[in-house]
Amino acid sequence: MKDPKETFFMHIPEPLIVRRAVLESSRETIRFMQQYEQIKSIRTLKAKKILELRRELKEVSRMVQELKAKMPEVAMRKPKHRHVHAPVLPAVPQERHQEKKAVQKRQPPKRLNELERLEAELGEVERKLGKLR
Amino acid sequence: MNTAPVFIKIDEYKDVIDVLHLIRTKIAEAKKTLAQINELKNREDHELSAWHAEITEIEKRVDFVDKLLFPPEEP
Repeated sequence: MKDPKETFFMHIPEPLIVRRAVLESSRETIRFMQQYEQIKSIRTLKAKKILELRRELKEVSRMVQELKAKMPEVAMRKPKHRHVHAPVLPAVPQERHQEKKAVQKRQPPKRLNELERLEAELGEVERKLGKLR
Repeated sequence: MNTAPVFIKIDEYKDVIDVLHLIRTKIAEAKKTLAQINELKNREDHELSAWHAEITEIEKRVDFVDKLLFPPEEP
């Protein structure tokens, strides 16, 4: 009967080569971790620089506004008024109309976020540019 | 469009020139920061590609050990 505690051994062909491969893998893994630290520091620096750029661009924007305020107001001719026929809408029952108004009133005033504010500002500038053409 | 000449007060004109000068300085600074960000991005890309090469190398070595220790059984 066999002893259950009997130990078996497996032959490792080319042990030196195997050992070298394992050690090299270990070395590569450590290098990998070192690179991770490097990437982490690069990303931190990049995030800092992006914030710096944002601050500078905000400053430029503020200065452009200042410049705009210093420039004289030039009266622009209003574009020729074109008579546009109002589209004929189907008659809405009075009750439904009031209900819609009530729904509109119930909605809380939406606060504009930074993106929406910039969008609105851009729209305004483009509108002014359109007038100049 | 109204083409009448527009005038600006001399003191305000000086202010405008100053502000313009400041804007130009700020734009130059922003360009410099942008170039630095671009350089950091390139460094990051370089590190990531080195990372990729490194992990491929580790994988190759592990595969080699795996094949050496567990050779395919002969039929």
